[in-house]
Amino acid sequence: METNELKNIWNTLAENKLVGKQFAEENIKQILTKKGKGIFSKMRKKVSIDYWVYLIGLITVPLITTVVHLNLMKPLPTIQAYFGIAFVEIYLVYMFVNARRKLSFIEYSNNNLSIRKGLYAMQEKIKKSISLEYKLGILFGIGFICFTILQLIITGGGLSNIDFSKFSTMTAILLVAMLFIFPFALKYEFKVRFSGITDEINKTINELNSESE
Amino acid sequence: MEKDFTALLYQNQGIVHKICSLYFNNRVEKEDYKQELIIQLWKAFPSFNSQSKFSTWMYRVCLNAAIDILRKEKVQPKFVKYDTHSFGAISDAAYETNENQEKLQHAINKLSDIDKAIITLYLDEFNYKEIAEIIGISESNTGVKINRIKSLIIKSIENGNK
Repeated sequence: METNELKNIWNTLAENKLVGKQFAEENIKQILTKKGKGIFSKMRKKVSIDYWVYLIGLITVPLITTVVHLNLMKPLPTIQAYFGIAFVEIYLVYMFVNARRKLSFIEYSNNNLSIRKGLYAMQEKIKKSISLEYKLGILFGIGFICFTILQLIITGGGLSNIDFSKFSTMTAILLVAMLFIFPFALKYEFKVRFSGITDEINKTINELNSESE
Repeated sequence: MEKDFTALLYQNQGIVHKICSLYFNNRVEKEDYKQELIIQLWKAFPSFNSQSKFSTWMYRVCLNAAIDILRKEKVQPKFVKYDTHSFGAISDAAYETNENQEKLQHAINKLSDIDKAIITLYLDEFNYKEIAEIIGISESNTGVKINRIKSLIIKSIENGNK
């Protein structure tokens, strides 16, 4: 079979079966006014919602805290009481920036790059995201566990007064055990969450890189 | 801008139909994705650089989107059995042509997402340089891939898609 014959079959196939009924210009105009219900529209919508939620959270959390503390809490709480709020704020800043980046990435990778470059960009983005989220997860997780252990020890009367029959002491021991398990559990969770998509991307990149001279 | 876009899309809408037919075989899914690709193209239109052909840019955006959708939703394209009854009584020559079309579609459906993209562009008369640009590989690699895919397809058609 010759290439021309193949192209002829393709042209008839495209005309008869693949293209089929065409859209009128009015239909196209109508589609443009729709929001879409496919995966990109859903993803764009989800990331946009995240973006606004984190932005509103970022503004309202310190605002509400300040109003409540200045008007209702007298005397003002100790500095340790603000650690939790600081944690929440750092988390919100990170998530807000992340949502913003995700939004621009969705548009950029699909519209401006070749398929191969888009895949590399996606691979790189996932790698960076995993690495950063893992580090942040470890930092916040271990920080939170340590902070809780410290509070339990302080409220229990300090290290000299440890009583193993107390519930708080047992909880503190459990949290110490969690300190060792947490990094592995987090690593496993990341592996489960990202392995499907990274495997798929790696497979396509390998396919694209094959047969090159 | 909307007027320009609508006019350009109207002239080149075959690309959306072809990609959806080859990548998404379920009828409902295909219609949804046609709309999705048009919306995606509309959102991407401000980034269209008129130095390149609209059809080249359109293929790139649509193929990127289709491959991305398949990766995300893990939709496995299934070959839709060709319905001979819908054509009524047909001549032997016409039957052979239709049979070849079915075989070609079947052969393309069996290809990987990337190979499918490459051969679609090739059959739609894009040159090696343009295909290489859309896919992001070298021209020589494009040539090697096209020859391999072409042989696979011809073999598949001649052997009756066995």
